[in-house]
Amino acid sequence: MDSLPAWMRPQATLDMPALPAPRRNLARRTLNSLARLLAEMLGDDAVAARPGLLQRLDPRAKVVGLIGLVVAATLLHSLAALGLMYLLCIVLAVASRVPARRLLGAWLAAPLFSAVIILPAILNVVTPGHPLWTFRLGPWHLAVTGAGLLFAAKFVLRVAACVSLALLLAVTTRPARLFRGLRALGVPKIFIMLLLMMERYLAVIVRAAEEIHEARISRSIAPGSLRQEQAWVAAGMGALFRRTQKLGNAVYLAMISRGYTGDIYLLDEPRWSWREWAFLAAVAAAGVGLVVLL
Amino acid sequence: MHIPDGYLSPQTYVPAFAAMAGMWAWASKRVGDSLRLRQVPLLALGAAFSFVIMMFNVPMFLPGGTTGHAVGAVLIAILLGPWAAVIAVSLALILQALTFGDGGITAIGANCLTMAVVMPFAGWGVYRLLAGRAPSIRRQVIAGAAGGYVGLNAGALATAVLLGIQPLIAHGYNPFGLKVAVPVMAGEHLLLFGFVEAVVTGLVLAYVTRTDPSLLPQSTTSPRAPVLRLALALGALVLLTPLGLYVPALVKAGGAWGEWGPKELPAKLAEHGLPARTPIHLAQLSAIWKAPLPDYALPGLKTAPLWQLSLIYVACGLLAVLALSLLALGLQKLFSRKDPDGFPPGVDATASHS
Repeated sequence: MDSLPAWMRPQATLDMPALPAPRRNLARRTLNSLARLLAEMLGDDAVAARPGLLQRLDPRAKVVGLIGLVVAATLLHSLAALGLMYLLCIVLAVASRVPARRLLGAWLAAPLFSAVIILPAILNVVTPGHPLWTFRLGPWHLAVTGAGLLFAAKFVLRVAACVSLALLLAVTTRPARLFRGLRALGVPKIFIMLLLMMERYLAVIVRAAEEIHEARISRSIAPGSLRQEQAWVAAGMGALFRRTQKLGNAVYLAMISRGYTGDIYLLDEPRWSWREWAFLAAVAAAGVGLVVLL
Repeated sequence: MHIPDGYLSPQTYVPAFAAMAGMWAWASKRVGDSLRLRQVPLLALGAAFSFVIMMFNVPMFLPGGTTGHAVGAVLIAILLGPWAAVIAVSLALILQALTFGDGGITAIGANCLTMAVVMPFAGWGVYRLLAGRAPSIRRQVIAGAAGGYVGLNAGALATAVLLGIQPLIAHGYNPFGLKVAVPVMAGEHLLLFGFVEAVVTGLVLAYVTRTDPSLLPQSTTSPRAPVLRLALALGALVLLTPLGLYVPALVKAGGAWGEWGPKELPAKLAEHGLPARTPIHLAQLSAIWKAPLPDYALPGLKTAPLWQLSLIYVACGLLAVLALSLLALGLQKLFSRKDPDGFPPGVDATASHS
């Protein structure tokens, strides 16, 4: 471990300070979002490497269990059941030592976004029911209904639970292991291999896109006309496409040189033990219990 | 356009997954047949490409003003072929849903249906129709832009329909019906995002055509094959038209509900206890246009036996196909004139990347 430079060690934090992005500079804005994506892809490993409940599980059990819970959440219709499901997400997050900061997006942003979309549904025009509060808006008489509020609460809670479960799956599993876990859902090998390969080369393509934008920023002092800017973005995409084709051919030749004949072998870690069975049994009990009983 | 979890009922997302399972199986067979092993890395990288170009800010309307993001599915369908696009865009959407939380896990099937099937096929179809066999750059740009615009809007409409049918199917999911979902989605995509997609698709095609035309797919099938296939499909459909006569006769149904003429309407209204009269405007408007073949039948043959009526139906179908084909041929002749310079406006400033 000592021979590794500091930034390559597992505990190194990946701080990518975003450049100040003037609103008008679109190349710089794209560059920032690409950098954020790269940091997210590399930074997620930190949580996935912690010793926690979900991290210890075989990815197959985790995929089946958590996606099963997402499906169960879409089947729930009572406020109590949805609340319990959300509580279960929090318990799983705590048991897996997922930092609250990482889940803020799921706990605040996604429910808030859904709440804004669902806002008109609390009114009597969308959800009729007993009026709790009436008001006038121009020529219309509107009322907030009890049924509408209940509907909105259930809707937001369901979205929040689903997003939290999906995020738990994503942050506690390295993508490569997550995709192998999809085997348990019957996804064919060729698709697993395509997903693995895409994930592996995504960073390369993102880096290439970054280079294209850096080159542009370093060579320009002011934005051009709209037409020039559009043509430049299109040229960037075209150049990126040419690079992906070149890289694809190179990867193909490399695969052939290593003896690829079209047969796909995936390494499955045989880690299935009592822990996986216990997790699946608990998840099944929770999911079925909530759907049937509440 | 990414539908999150919780917006679609299981009655919608399960059939969407079932439909996509068939699509994925068929697409991998089609792709595998044409390019075999070589296609594996190209597809994986095509998927990564489709993921990354969704992040490019595209300026619209004013320099440094509004920007939008393109989906890129039509572009990929044109560059890699529509079946490869089904797989590449699906992979990008699955990665987004599973590792970045963009779009729901249960909605993967629905999102793939709209963005990886409806959008690339609609856009690619329009592009093929307008581009012809050996398009000039200008025609390439116009066909690509039209394909991008139509493809994105078809995908948005499909998304709106999936969301809008929720109140009809199940309570507790997206509460806004078709009357709300379709205008909202169609509005923003017709007015803004459609143009982003059009600009991206058209200009990237121009760039690729000018810098490396070998990357554009070469048509491997003979130019007549698609026409033959279309003719066969149309022929089959024409032969099936008499079904519209036999099925109502079988279940003793009347004409199409709500499509009554001024003579039938009073009787129908009376059936429902309403005053039996013909609305004055209906009477006025129906006098304006007399169809050459009313009710798809020759005059005096309306009470003929079903098999005779069937033959007339088939004849009417053939007549319509012929008329529309002539119209399409005329339009094609009109648009396929050679253009003198062959360069699109504004693509000259493209050499500034590294």
